[in-house]
Amino acid sequence: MLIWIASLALPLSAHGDDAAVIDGFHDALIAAMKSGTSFDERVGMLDPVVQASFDLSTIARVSLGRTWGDLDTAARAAFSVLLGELIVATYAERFVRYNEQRFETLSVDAPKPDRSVVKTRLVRIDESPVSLDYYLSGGRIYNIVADGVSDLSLRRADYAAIVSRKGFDGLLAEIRGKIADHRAAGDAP
Amino acid sequence: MHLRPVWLVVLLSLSGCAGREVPQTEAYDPWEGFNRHSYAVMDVADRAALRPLARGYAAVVPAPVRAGIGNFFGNLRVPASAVCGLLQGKPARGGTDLARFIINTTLGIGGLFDVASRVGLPFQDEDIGQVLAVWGYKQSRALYLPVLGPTTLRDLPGDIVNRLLAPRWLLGDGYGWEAATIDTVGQRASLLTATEARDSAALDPYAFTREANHQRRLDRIYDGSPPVEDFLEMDDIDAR
Repeated sequence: MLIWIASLALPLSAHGDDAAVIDGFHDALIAAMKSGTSFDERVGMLDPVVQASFDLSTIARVSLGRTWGDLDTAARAAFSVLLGELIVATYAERFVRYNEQRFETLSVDAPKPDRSVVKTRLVRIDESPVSLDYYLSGGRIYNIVADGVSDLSLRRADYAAIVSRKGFDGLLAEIRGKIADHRAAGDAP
Repeated sequence: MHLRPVWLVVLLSLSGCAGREVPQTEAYDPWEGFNRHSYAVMDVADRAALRPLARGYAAVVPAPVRAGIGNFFGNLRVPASAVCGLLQGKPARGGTDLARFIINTTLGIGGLFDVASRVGLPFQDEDIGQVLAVWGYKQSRALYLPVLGPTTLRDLPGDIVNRLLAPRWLLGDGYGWEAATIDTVGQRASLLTATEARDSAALDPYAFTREANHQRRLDRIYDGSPPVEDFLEMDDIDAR
């Protein structure tokens, strides 16, 4: 009986933890927006949270599609690190000014063991709310679906188009250029 | 029977796609060369004219006024959505749109105020492309066209009806070039945040836009609950 109760309690506890992961990520975004600091300082605030909350190697593998199979272990690890830098830089550029935005957690679903979908929304003044569904595995985010559009699907299509025209080295150059663009835009007044 | 060449192309394309088993996980784009060229042309026109106009409109016209104008033109597109909801065998969605149109046209003063949403009757956003999808035309080749932007062969008739014809059916000559311009600029203004996010994130803006439209259409076809690809099971496909 105790084992049965424990087996019920474990998934509930795990999914509660997953909601806490998303809450922690949202809190970091709000804090970055409120901080009024430079781009690099916002990167410093967000990087530890992204590293702890996102499954960067899974995001890297799925984003690269078939190209992932052509890479050795070192190249895969380096790409995962670069992708993490890109994700942090993107958030540091986009979440820059606080204007009464707030995140609301709506529900937590468990489609499979060790998986969860945390449904949330971003509420903004004078604009429609944005639904943000976080997909987690093992307590870490691997996909975000914003208003029905999957971030992972966008990355797969975007990166495949670049790899087909410029190769994997071209993709790395494009990502480094995009991080520089985020830094330039994120520091603009 | 004499068919004009354009309709012949459409019919051939429909017959070639309707039964095709193409994975729904990504956009199908055999006309990518044409689409990329069309995207490049439209991007230049957008940056030169439409985007600045939309930014000016958003900066000068107060948000409540913009909302009222958007509500007014949006209301003109609700009857077509209601019909498309019914054609999909979704009487609740069709009925919601029908009730919404009646309430917003009367209590909402010609559609300027969205009273219906406040009483639990949100816009259902149905169209001909969704009808065709529910009837079995699941996957269609991507198209990027001037004025209409990203679409598919399946969704093109619905885009033409929604964007160009529906307001004219209800307003007649009242939907002249002045009204059409305000409508178009207002719609572009409503997309400013989305296109800025795309420009910020995309490495290949055309591929990004095509995929975003594909995802958005799946979301609409499945009424906000599309099947989400289980990427974690894709090792066998991607890792060699």
